[in-house]
Amino acid sequence: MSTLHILYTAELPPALSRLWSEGDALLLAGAAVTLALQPALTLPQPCLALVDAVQARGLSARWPSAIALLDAAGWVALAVAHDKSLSWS
Amino acid sequence: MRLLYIAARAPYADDRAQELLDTLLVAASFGAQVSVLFQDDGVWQLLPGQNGAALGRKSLGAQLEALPLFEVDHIYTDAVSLAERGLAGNDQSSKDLLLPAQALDAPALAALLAGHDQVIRL
Repeated sequence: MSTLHILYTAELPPALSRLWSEGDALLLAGAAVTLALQPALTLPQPCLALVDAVQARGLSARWPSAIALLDAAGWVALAVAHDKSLSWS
Repeated sequence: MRLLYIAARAPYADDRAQELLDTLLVAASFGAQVSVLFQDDGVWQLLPGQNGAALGRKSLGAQLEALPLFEVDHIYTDAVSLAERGLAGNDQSSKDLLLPAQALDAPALAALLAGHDQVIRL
């Protein structure tokens, strides 16, 4: 039973790690995309991000290559690939 | 369909705690299998002795006490969230909370989430 964790906040909730299981994935949406640029922060893996949110904030030039960018269709495919989604807002 | 509701907000600050409870009760009244986890500032919702009338609001605590009447018996807390706020939970020696709730550590929380089909966190 894998979960897609969708994070909308500019801070990483400590509770997320307590609800994390093997096979889960983290999707950075909205303000959460800035988390990818914090060098001291280790994000759970796999971690992906919504391209619209990245482009809107002017973050594309400095975006880390390790975090894949998704469009809306990619988001749908990612959601379907997991048993459920959990929105952290 | 097993539904997990995660109550993560302090009561009375905004409407999220009340809205989560409302959606939970609707699901329960239609016969869905409902569990509720109180996490982060959501554990403050479980303090006894609430008087919402002081703020011109309904008492959330009084409504939560009715959960067993709606056959919502799977009630959990995040043990770390309790400890961070100096709350003891409900064991034999103390009764800090208005409902019998099972405190879960991190592995048990992950297993709880894995055991449900849908999850809503407010």
